[in-house]
Amino acid sequence: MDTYLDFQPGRWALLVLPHGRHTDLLVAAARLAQRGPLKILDGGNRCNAYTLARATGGRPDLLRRISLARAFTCYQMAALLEDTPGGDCPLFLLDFLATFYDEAVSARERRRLLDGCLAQLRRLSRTEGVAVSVCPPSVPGPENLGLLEVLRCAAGQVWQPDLPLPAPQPWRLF
Amino acid sequence: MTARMSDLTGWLLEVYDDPGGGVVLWLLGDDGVRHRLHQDFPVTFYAAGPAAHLRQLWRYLQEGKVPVKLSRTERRDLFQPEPVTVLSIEVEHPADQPPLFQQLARLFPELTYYDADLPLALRFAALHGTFPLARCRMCADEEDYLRELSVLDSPWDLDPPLAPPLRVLGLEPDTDPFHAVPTSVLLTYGRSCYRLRLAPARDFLVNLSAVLERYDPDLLLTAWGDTWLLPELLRLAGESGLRLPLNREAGREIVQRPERTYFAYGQVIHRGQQLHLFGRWHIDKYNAVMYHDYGLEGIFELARVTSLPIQTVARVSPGTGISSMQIVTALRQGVLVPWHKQQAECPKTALELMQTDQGGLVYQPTVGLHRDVAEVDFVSMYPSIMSHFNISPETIGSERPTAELVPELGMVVDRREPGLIPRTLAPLLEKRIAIKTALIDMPHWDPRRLRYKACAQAHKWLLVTCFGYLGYKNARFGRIEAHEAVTAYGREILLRAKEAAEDLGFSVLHLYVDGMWVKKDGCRKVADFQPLLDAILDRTGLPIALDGIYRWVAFLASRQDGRVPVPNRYFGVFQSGEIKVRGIEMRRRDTPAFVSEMQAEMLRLLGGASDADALAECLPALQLLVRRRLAELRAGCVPLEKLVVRQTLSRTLEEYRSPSPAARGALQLQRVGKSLRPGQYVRLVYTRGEPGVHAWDLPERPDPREVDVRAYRELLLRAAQTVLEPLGLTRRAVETWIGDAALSLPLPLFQEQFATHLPGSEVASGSGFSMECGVAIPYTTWP
Amino acid sequence: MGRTLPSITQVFLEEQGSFARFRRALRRSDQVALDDLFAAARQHLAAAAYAAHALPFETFLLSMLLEEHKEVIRLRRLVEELLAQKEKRLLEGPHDRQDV
Repeated sequence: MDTYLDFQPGRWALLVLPHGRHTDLLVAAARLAQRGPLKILDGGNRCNAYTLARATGGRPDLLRRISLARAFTCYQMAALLEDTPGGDCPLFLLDFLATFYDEAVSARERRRLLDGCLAQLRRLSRTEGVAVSVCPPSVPGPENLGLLEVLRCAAGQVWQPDLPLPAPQPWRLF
Repeated sequence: MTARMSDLTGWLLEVYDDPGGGVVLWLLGDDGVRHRLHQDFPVTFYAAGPAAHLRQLWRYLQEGKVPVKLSRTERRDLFQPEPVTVLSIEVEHPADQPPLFQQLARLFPELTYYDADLPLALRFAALHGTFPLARCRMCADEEDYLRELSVLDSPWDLDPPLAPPLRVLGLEPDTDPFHAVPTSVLLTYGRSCYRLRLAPARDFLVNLSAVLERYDPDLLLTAWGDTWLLPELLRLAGESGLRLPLNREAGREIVQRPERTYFAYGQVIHRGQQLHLFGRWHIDKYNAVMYHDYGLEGIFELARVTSLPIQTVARVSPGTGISSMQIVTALRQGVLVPWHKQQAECPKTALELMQTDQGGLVYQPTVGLHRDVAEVDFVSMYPSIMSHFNISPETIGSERPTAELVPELGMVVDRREPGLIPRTLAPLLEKRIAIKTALIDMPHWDPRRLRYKACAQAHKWLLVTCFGYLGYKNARFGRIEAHEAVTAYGREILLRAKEAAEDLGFSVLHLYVDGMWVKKDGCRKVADFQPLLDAILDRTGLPIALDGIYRWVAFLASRQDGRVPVPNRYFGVFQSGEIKVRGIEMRRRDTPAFVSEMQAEMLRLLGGASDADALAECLPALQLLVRRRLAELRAGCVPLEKLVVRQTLSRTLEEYRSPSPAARGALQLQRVGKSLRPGQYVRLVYTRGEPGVHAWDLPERPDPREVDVRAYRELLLRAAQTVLEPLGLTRRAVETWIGDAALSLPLPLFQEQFATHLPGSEVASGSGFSMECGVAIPYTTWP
Repeated sequence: MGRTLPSITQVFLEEQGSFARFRRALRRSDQVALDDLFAAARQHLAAAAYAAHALPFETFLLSMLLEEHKEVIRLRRLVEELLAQKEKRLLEGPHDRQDV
């Protein structure tokens, strides 16, 4: 079962995934490497390179096409997006909100940084596909859910699987 | 009109801000007087950003009420290649700066702030070179205004010239307040020792106030002072309407910091609330981080090298200590100290991530019993690497022509100018090496010995943290690429050490991040291993030391599968007679004292054997020991305190799906009104039936007849088996050996060894066989 | 802080786990032999980690082969030794009984 996401310039895709489903996303991203370079920004320390390797059959040339950068705080995520040059290849944001769920940073700050990130997402999605995955917060407080809502409203399209798929399926996103 | 000046020498105790303006300094004078001096101290911080926003900020500050001096300047940001243009904001009164900054951060959140949230003590230290307990000469006028200040010693001196005559008042309740409400407090000061009853409260407070005023201590050393005693005394004082002069500084309130739980270093950590005094120090023995490791001398040393105030340094984790050192270095170098960690990782390919995202090399040891083994360790390897190879956030990835390639990483490091991190670490490393060297030959009676050992421990914790801190997400001067560069160097260096050993004909039994265990036929004395140490220094450029030569050492296999070696479980006896133990039951905090003590005794008995061949002769004594302990357990003769198990509560009670013993114990405590947070530990005794545990801190002690003897027998036998397994005894054999009085010795312990020699090298044969001593660890055989 | 890749031990256990169905369908005595192979691969996890191979299982297979070969060498030596001893006894004849 392939899931197509309708991609249009200026609209980026939001995938709301339960915690276990990121492997499928990594596999789908790795398959894209067969067509050309792609970028992954990891906001939740989830980018298991071995998963990518297995999905590409261990081919070093394909693995070299996948560019990775990790953010461990929401400040770093904002900086990462600012530093990412205008889309020349598909961009995946993995577990984007993970660093924003950190209550050590004030809600105001997190919202301000998120707004900045949304502006960057608009810029980056103008020319190439952008997919953002998020997990629902483990501590579902009003602030965290609020951040998720902001993303939902800003996204070009939202994909949220209600039921677990019977077996990991490849998705074609673009 | 000449002001009368007084020249004072003494020890600097503290520096803090004065709400009325400037800073307050306390000096413990050579004249025995505690002098309170003050000085103006303007404090500067910076803002950077788009010019239009900075102009707005400028206008806002000029129209504001806080006296500031504004200017435009250029300063160095470590993470930028070129200096940045910043608005310099000099605040006249240091007490005004933090609230002003909070305001600006709220109103102008998009600007980048530097030097904005720094402790005052660090700013002062960066400017004047001061640190707690520094020997100083101060020149003050008749209004106690400090005119001149010079620091006479350095935190890097091994032996400070004179020890300050600190007055210490000890306050200790008669019981652990968490267990039962204390009824009296022990006061110790000078040569006196008094026990004062807490009730009636008025009498107690009057007596304590009298002691505080007469004795005027510099340090209040308490037990449970943060978490119970001082809050309780303050409460009693409030109720009685009496004033308790805990602060030396009149007119200041005691600073109270709430307790907190957080996740760091891979575990849940809980810190009790804190009470800080002004003008004198309060240290709570049970709330001071690692106090049991290095005591007061260690705290003083940490304060000296980090420049943090004594009360702060006693309570913060080593990460804060390292960060403070970096901040002071940055301030002195004119490098801006960022407020938030904003630098993100530079992109790497998936392939590169697999190569760089690794830790140190951790080998699987050759399981079994080995004799005449040398343990060689690099001295503070990661900090040495940072220092020697100049690894710092600004030197990694530098594009200067002086940069060199780091192995495996394809990353460049610029070694032309010392980076911020190496600059910070170098004096600390030097002092550590000097102290360790001095300790090696120091006789036991040398009065400096205890202090040196405390310093060594304090340094060790700082250095162990600085590497992790380099990759920490919130570290101001952290950078993940630098962290990865250090581990890459570490792996390369360890491999070169291994090659040096093998080229010299040594067999390498085990490798662990920064250390190696090697042996070679005929090599038994220290001098025999010197060529190896020289070769390693030659090939790696880093100092390596011989930790010791084991008479014998046993590397243990996994509990679950005897074929699988475990990197960090071993025990052995050095030629000096000293026993070294890692990873086994007696080292674990959740082992009851009854079991730890037996295991330690077993090892002592084995340590008495002259060499590996004589180990079998220890077996009768070991058998007697284990049998005796089991009999004591069955007869109910073991004191209950020795059966207490300590387990950490890893999450809140609601989060447990199936409650662990710790959770069950915590639930019992909760029912009597004692709540525990994640990160705190629960003490309990295993009991028969449900719920299987009895929390130790409940009002009643558990009934000795309810003790789950079988559970403790299991723990005891497991601990015994850990020690006996390298001698060839399986768990079943241990059971038989313990139970059967008629079993005679000697047992067929050492099975035949099957050594395989390949020309030119030695190869251990198959899994589970050790080379020289040839002890076979039994494993599954073909049916 | 920072570590994104699972440890080599975790990767190993995952790979071992991925053969759980295969193992289950084997006869019990064959399961024991398979477990031996995996235990053998665990002797060289440090080298596998350092190798940073894109497909770690290939390194684990090589480790298993390495241990098998060491066993072959050991057995070969043993056999040669036994043969040599046997030959020596034959040469010395029955009236010069030596303890083996």
